[in-house]
Amino acid sequence: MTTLRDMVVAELLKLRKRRGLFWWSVVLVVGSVIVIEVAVQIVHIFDSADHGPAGGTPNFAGTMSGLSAFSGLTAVLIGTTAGSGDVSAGVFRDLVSTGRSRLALFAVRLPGSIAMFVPLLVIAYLIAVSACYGLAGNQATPSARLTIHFGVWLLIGRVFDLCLAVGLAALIGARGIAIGVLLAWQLAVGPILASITFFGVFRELVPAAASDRLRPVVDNNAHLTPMSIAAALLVLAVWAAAMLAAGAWRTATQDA
Amino acid sequence: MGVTIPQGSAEAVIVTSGLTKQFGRRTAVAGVDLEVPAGTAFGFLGPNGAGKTTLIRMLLGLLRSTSGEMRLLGLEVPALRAEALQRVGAVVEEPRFHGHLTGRENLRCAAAVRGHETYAQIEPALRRVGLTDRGDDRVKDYSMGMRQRLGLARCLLSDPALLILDEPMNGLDPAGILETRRLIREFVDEGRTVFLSSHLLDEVERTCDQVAIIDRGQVVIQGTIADIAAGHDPVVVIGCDRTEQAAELLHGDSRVTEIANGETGELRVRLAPNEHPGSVAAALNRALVEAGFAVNRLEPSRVSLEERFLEITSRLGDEE
Repeated sequence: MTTLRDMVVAELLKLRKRRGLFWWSVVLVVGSVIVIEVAVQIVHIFDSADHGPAGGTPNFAGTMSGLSAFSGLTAVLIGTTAGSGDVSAGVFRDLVSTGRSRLALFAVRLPGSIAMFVPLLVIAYLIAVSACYGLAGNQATPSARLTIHFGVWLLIGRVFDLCLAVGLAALIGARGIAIGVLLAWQLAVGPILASITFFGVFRELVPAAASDRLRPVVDNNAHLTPMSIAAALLVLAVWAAAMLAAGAWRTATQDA
Repeated sequence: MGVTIPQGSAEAVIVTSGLTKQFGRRTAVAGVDLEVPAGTAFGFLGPNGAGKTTLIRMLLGLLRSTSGEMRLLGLEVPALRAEALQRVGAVVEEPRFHGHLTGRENLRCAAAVRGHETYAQIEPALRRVGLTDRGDDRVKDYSMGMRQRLGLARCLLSDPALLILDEPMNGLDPAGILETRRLIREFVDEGRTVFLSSHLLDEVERTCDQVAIIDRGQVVIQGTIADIAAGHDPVVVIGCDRTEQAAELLHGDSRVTEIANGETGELRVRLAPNEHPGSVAAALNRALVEAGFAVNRLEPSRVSLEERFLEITSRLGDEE
């Protein structure tokens, strides 16, 4: 266990010390929330008749949607770096030649990327929650249950993104291509497939639909599909497991 | 750092039997039988593309062999690969690192994979290769020589009984080569075995006790450098006037098999395999002097590993 813990810490070190990745992650996750809150509040200050304060339930839901998009992008960047970092740096063969199991080398990448990403997400979330209540003015604030629901939705969605990114990058072995594929899937292909009613119940197999089903409903916004929460969780789990298994298989069998 | 040698210094630390690797229809390593004795610096020689790195990668489990058997430190691989590699340090081809991390951080990452107890070896390893003061610099700012030394430091984390170094002199300046050669001899003096793959014959001759020469995937000769050089037909170098006439005269001697012109005008006279170059040289000198030639140089030639290597590998080429 000590060795596995050390290996996770080493994975975190490799990610954290990439200055570009680290600061872009801070900007995209934490910075995006601050920019959203500050921008809305400034608009409110200069035109309070037409624009309410930055806090309150509707703004919180909007901030969470923005945070979901930006943190999803960040999760892809971090996950693909973790998934392909050793191979692209050329050190994978040196790690394999220590005799350590290839599966163990793969297995620590996800916890390492979670350790890098989740603290940023938590900070951004806490800023959003603080703004929601602190800048609510006369607007209604979300219940504690709804607030926590948003947090859990964010966490599940982003850990899912990390799983896909780590697995796909390890499978392909090239970070750039993995980023392109995942962003195309996240931003275009997935949402489009999930919204094509022609596909009927099969839309429930698309991660975008499952993730949407887990999103808290505010202002009676309907979900894309009527699937159950358990089914949505199962869809995400199967996709994540499949992609991680593919990455693990590639790591275990590739020539180092 | 201490090192435990597998029972008995004469025991082989690397043994391969019929080791073969095929990439599609191309055979990169063809039925190699190799035995590397413990406590030696063992040179693994071969031209580029001969199969050196492929064999090393199989030994380390980076590639799967097509057929054959391997033992590292007395343990069968790949069956007991993890156990065997705990006591092996290796640099395969160019040493690679995470360029954005410092040398010390790279060693921390490697130590994490080796096991918690190896953290204690980071500072001694950096000190050993002379990188203590540069350990906090990012590796992307390191010179090639510093990377090679950091690669050696990474090997030392496991306190290895066997070091497998693939072309460790590549890209080094003369001072770096001298330093690496000194380190390798130190490792051997400590009782470790160094398996050194190279195409720099001069370096191997200076550094190693034993060598194996591989060509086109096959080990063509293996033994001590002296033994391998001794396998060459004896040669006597003769300097005299009127070399063309002298060569004609010497051709008549039954003990002479071949005469070639040397680079500086001397004659390189190859003798029959069983002839003693000292006594034949005296007889050839007598014959030349009696025929009126002015002999100004007469010496048995020491055959270098390089000459032997070229002879062996080019002979193989001629057969095809």
